[in-house]
Amino acid sequence: MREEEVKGLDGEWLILLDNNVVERSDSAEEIFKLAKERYSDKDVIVTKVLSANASFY
Amino acid sequence: MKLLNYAFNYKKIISIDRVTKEEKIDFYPIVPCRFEWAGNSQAVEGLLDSGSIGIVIPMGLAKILNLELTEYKIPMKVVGRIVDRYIAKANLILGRGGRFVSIPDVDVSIPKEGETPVILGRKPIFELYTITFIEAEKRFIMEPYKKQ
Repeated sequence: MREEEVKGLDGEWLILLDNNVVERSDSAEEIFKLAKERYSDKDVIVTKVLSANASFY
Repeated sequence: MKLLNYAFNYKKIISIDRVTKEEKIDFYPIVPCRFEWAGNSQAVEGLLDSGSIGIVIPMGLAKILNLELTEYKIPMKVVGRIVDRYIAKANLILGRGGRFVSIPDVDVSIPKEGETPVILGRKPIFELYTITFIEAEKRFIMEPYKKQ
């Protein structure tokens, strides 16, 4: 199994396309809207930069 | 519902502190998954979290899926504070790369405030799967639960 990694600011939302970051946002609402409006025909994944330093909420 | 075995490496996350710009490396048990509802769909990464009772998703995801939100009278307790929430149903598809498990009509909680990541808590994931965290190797295994 290969190791996957992602890099970004604490708590940042990312859109990944082929494991590359194509969009970043601090807002979940904005990132999911972008995923729907710009990438609905592509196999993108939305994720978040988790960090023990940043509260989830 | 046919369940499949899964084994995943923890995901390496390099987070940059917003103030100090210091980089920190952590490893998290992340499950590739997809939520679907009413013809809408989005692939996401869910944090496997035995400390959470159920599935939690952010409002932004609930909106693009067009989930039917219902006010829930019992708020969520998160990190020492109380947050009001909605509940809804959604279809959850685990896996990627052609090995999918579809779990229809799962209950999801949607906090009314904050920026929660997608959290895959105990219900239903830990009810359907026996999950072994091999922390020393930074990986975890999900095996369909079989009654002894």
